[in-house]
Amino acid sequence: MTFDKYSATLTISKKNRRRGFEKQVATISDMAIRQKERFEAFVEFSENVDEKLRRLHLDMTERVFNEIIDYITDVDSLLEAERMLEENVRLLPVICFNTGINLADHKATFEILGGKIEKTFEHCRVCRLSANKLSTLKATFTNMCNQLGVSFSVDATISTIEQHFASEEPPLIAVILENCESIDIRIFSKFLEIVANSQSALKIIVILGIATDTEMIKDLIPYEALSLCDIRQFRCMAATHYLQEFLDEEVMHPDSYFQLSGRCFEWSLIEFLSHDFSVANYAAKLKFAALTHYANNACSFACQPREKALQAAKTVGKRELTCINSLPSVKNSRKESISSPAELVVALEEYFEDERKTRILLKCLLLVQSFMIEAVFGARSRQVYMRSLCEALYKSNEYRKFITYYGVLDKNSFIATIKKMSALLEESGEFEVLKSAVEHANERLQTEDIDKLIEEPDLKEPDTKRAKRAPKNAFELQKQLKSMTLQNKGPKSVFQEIRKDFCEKFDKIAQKFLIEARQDKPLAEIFFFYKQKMIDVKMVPPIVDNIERSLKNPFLYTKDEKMALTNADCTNENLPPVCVAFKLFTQMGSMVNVADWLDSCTCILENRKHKNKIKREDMEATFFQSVSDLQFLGLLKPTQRKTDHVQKVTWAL
Amino acid sequence: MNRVKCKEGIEAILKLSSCGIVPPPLPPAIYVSGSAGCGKTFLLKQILAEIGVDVAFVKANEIYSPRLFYEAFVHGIHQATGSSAKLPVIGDNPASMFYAVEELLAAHHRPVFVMIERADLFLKNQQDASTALTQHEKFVKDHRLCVIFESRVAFHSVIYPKSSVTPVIFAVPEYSQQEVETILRKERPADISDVLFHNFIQAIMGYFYLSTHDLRLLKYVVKEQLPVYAQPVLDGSVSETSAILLWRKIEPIFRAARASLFLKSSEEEENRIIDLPFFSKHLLIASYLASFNPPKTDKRYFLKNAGKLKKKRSFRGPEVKQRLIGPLQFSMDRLIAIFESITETEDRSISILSQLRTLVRLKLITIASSDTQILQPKLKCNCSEDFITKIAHSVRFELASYLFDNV
Repeated sequence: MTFDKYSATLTISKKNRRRGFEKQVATISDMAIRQKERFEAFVEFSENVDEKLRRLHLDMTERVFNEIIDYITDVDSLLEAERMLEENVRLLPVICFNTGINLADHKATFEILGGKIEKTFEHCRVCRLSANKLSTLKATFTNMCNQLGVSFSVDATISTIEQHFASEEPPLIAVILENCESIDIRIFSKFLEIVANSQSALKIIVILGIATDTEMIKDLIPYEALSLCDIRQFRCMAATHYLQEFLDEEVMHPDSYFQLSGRCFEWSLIEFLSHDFSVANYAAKLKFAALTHYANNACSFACQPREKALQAAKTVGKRELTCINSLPSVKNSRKESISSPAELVVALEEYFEDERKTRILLKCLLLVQSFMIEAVFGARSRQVYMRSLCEALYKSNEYRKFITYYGVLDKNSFIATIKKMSALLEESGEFEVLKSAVEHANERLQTEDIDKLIEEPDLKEPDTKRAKRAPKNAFELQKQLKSMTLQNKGPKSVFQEIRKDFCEKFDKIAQKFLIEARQDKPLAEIFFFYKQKMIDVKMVPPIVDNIERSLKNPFLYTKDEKMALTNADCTNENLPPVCVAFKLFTQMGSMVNVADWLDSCTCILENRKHKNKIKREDMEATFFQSVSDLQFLGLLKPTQRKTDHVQKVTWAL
Repeated sequence: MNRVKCKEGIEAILKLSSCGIVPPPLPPAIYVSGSAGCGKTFLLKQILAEIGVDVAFVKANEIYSPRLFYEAFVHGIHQATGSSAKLPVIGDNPASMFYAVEELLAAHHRPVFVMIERADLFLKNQQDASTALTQHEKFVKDHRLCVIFESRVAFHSVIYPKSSVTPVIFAVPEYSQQEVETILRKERPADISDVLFHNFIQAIMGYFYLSTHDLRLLKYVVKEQLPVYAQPVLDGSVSETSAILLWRKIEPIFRAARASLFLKSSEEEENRIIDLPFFSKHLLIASYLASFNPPKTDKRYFLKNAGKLKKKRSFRGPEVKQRLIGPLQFSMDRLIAIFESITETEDRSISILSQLRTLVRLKLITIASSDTQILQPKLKCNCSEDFITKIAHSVRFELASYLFDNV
């Protein structure tokens, strides 16, 4: 190669390299923009969830809070009158506010309640005390004084508060005791007694946040304190209802875009119903799933409200189109891949429309189901929603059952379903096919005489000799009756005709929208979060498994080459003594001889002992320290059944 | 009447002590006891107001440290004497209190009475301060201080310092039925006629006096029920003299009110279950089974292959049913084992243990061992049979087939 040629090649390659670099820079900047977009979409989603949760909480508690406010108003005026008549007022108004055990939601509940009381009553102070601040009377009154802005020199008591407000009209003090079952009963009853005794000088109302029952309070507090209280019960909405409201508003709403897959949805529901009962925690899980989805899914830039998603789709590059074309749902459903942003926009529009209509249809299914003798899809809307996510509802036996029941629904119920469906479609927006079917049925029901009988075609008399003859046995009779029934199968009245027509139309619409699981529809990967295992591990960390893993294979955490093991069950001298002790422990029976255990452990650590010149006493001390650690972890316990033995606990690792 | 005798006794002592021309020395302490709501404080305040002596009041149930008591005591005397001097700073010792008290009394020249309400709590909780106070005649000159202990507990049941002089003791008896009736009659509002109110009080006394003698509670019932009782009369549907008709109308309301008498709550929800997560409910059921089944029967109920049951029965006298004895203690291992058996799950995640902790906090399960025993705490179920039956029903668990002495 001559120099010129070489230099020419070099120049070209340089140019190419520069182009490549520019391309790379452009790609990176594009990616950065998309990442920013995804992050912004997540922030918007998260804020939206928080806002909806807050609004729901307000709506949920509004009725009960209004009742509480009314009660406080009445009690305040009554006590005021009593103070004017009598010198010694000792009755303490106590509001037992049943909040349920969903502790994570209590913070918001009490914040709203406190704010509402302060807003309603001009001259009012609210004091929130949680159980961990009420360990002693001193701590209780100190906290109370701090929140009321009462200064004190050494120890705070109710007298301190009395003296503070002695010169002025005392304000109404609402003391909110959150999670009051956790408060020490002695402190609690004394506190109530003290507060009741000061009612002549102060206006105090106690609000107890209880998770169990007012009966429980009655059982816990001694009569001395209980007799001073005028207890009224108020109840918050049950946690399960609250969740249903949240699901209706956020997850199952026709406008919601980010979705959990069937398994994720089921897992989150099981977690809620089996473990925590907290909607705030449920929302946190939903947000975490969204965060993971937006962070890891390159196509999630389109997981936004309809208009924004379409806008984002208009500016997609080739790289993103490739990414979208590689989605399994797109590969399976389309013969030709999406080649331009315009095609993507059309596909997304189709998806949004399809999803919206499916949800409306699901609502219609639930609505009709409520008039049937049996809730075939399950009593709750979340059940049918969950099934629609992961299975083709149209192909299910339940749907067959549903359509059969619908075909034989009585007149009143059918008319009611049509009317309600019509109202639902009015609210939900466009769904032309279903709307026209409903309107048509409705119109016929209103205009035609639905009880009128339709002229039946003449039934042909059986010609054959065999058919003519009288049945000889039950089987023949059954056969004859069946054949007659088949001949009479057609509608007999106008109502039956309308019902049959509508059922057929409804079935066709359902076939179109419910023939496929929603999470498998084209482009579903953009909107659905599928990683159930990941969210499970992150949100409900398996602490026991983690401890076991770390004890079995410390290399995973220490990254020390010496501790690397070829097999998780084997051991070596370089492992920490607690790991060696644990590995031996797992190989033993339910009763462990400590002396044998020590010998085995020392045997393994023998080399280290010689290398580092460790004394036997030190080795023993290290071993017992390890045993003590394992005992602290709850793996073993001392026993008196055998000398020098320890026992494995039932729920050990 | 005992009450009158008691009142006369206290009155005589106080009058003699405080108002004589050559006053005899004041008794260092008077101990007045009586049950809650029997009118001790009212009686004492009335007598002291009639005699017109200087009185200071200290509420002992607010006192949680000796220093607070010293401060409250000095503050009370300061107010009773009407001294204009600035309150001295009180240290955390009785000498500081007595020094301040003596200074105040020296300037006052009249005897001062200090009434300590709920003295039983004071004598029980503040033993150092009470020992010093009951010996105040050693530190305060001229015997011009008298401490009146107002207590709900009889003198022989309190821890009164042995080294101190025994106080003059009075026991105020409870109000008799007639007295209660008389007091309640004074509660008549202006718009209610005498006849109607008389009938109402008769009904209240007949129905509620058997359940409670507490005057405060009866007063509360009168206030609550009077508008309901008088409503038919005010409407004009029933005559105020027809007591039987009025009784028929009020009887169901009275019955409901008596059921929630000590709760003072109008709402009663019968078939209501506490909202608990699924596993918490099963933990509660497991704890109930562990509490009311003997451990030896666990194998029979919770093992799939429990082996043959022994038919041989040894007679050791009549068996006592566990539910009559009360819940047994059980270990956490046993609880988790039963829980795993009835739920058929091996979910040993931390969330199960945290739910157990929540149940302990809600006092549905109690820790029977001491707080220091963190490794193997002993637990006890704190729920009634009805409650657990409801819980079991809500999760479709057949509790009856797992209970040992169900029959």
